[in-house]
Amino acid sequence: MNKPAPSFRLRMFLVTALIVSTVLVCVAVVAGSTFYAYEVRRLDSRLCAEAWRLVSRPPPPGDEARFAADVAGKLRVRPTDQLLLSSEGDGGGGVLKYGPWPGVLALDQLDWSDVQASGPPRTCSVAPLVTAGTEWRVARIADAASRGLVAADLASIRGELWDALKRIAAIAAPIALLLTGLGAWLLSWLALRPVNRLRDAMKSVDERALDQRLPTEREAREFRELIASYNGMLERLEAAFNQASRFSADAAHELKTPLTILRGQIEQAIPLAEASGLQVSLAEMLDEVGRLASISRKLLLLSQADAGRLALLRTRVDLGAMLNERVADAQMLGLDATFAADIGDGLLIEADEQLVGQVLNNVLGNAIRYTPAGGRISVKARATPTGVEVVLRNSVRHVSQVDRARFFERFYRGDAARSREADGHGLGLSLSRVIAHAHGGDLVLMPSADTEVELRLTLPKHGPPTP
Amino acid sequence: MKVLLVEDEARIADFVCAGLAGHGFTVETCSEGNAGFERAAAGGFDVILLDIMLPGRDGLSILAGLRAAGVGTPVILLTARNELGDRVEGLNLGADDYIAKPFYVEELAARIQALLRRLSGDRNSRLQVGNLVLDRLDRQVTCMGHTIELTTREFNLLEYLMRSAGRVLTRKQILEHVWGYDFDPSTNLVDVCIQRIRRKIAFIDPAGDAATPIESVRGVGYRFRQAP
Repeated sequence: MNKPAPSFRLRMFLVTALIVSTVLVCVAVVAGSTFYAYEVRRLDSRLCAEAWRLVSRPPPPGDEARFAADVAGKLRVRPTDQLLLSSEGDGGGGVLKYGPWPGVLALDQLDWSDVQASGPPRTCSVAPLVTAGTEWRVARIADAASRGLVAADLASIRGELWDALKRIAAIAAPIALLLTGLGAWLLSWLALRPVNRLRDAMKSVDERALDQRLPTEREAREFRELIASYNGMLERLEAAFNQASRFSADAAHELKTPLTILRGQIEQAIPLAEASGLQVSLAEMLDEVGRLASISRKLLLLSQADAGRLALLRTRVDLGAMLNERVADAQMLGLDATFAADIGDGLLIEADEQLVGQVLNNVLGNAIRYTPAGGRISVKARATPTGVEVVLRNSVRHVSQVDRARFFERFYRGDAARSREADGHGLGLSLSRVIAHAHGGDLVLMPSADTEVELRLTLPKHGPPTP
Repeated sequence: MKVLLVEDEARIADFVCAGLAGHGFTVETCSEGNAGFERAAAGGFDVILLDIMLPGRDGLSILAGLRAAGVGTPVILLTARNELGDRVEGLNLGADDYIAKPFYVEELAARIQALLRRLSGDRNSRLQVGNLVLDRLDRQVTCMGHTIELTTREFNLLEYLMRSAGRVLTRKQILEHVWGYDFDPSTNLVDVCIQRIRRKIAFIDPAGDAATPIESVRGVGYRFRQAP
């Protein structure tokens, strides 16, 4: 068996979540890189300003550490390992070198770009510098007289940016998730609403209501097509069903007139053929006509029931008395089987006496016929709060599970019944169940051992209210 | 007893006439609906047998027309197509009984007699053939003044045989009349029941043992011996 696909809602949620998170990641990448470029430009101008200060007012010798701490504070870097200072020139300060400068510096090979610096017209240029594992940003101010270099570790602004992103993500992610869930739920609700409506409408259609059609007016265009094709399917089904039902009704009916004539003429001929061998043949013919008549009657009733038109003549019926009569018949036959009957009191129901009698005749007749010598038959009937329940159990030679599954099938006979002796037509049980259904009851085959058959007949006390 | 049969199928009408004539009924037939209604409304019949599907006017409409016109003659419907539905509708319209096609003429005759007895207030509830007397009202059978205890089935079977005294009835015919549709526990149910009735009669009337009133007709069925 295939594993069922996961729920539609769940799939909607996952797809929506995937889309939303992709969008979020894209936004974060674009915003982050823009913000980073902006921060680098800001750092450039600050570096230039500090370089200018270094050149114009260099710290007195011995005061470099304080100066460096001051510069580091303005650039928001650690003075110990994230800042490089270097100056030389005529300012009187001589040569200053602060921070972990690399040994050899090929300053002219750096990718310098100019920055419009504030202050006197000296050009400031900046460039990226990579030393052992650290990325720096270097600003340089140089003229004929002096030269100043200030460099800051880029890790500082990267760290700031990363912290900011993490803070935003911590707030945004749950909100996005919540919105995604809500959105997915809303979407799937909207998408499923017409489908659910359709499902409910389809459920209410059964074999008795094939003439139902689902309304299309108030549905969206996409669903209108679906409903229209469903309606079309129902229409074809109804036509085929009606045709089949009408066909068997017509066939059964057409048989009735010739059967009536045959039966009547044979019946009239029997006394005339007295004391000749012909009389026996005529009697046999009469019995065969009787068999045909019984089959055609059952077919007609079945086709009427299929079309939901089994007209019941409900009267007050004493099911207990009816059962007792048949139990007495069984006892009269002197069966070679143990017969136990437990018929409760007050089994009064409103039912069609003729049809219910036929059901009892059929199931009890079968039980008596198919119970092997030395077997057991038991009939239990009791009143239930809603009606009457009759449980009929009898031993049989062997009824396989395959046979059980086809028990109520029309024209089906189990192996035991396939002999000519057993004069069923394979329609009796099917018709019995249909009659029980027409009364609002049921006839079911209960699970039991292979060598036993248990039938449970339920009939309601009152019929359904007539519409 | 006069019977009007409204039936369009001539061969059915033929054997019904013949069969009912054997029970002492005079049958007049009519094969068209409107003519059937005219004839029925004119009166003079003890029972009207109405087919449902008729040319001109259908049986249910004839029945409704008759009852509307105040004609109270008992009506038995001969239903075919929609047996159950016509039964419900027919009884609602005032039919007295119905019989489904295909029927046995003996069964039809039994129904007519039962209907007439019911309507005549059971004045003729006693039926005597030979020295057996059957009382439908008390549901009692007596033989030479002694009551014979019979079960419901035995009583119904004996009554059916006595009403058709002199005619052979097959086991199937008896089974359907006494037990109804679709009861077929074994082929010898009718035989067993008849044996029991015979034994009970023989117990009262030892002379009857040799000449039992219920004869077996080999290969056919049973017949109640007609009184000489």
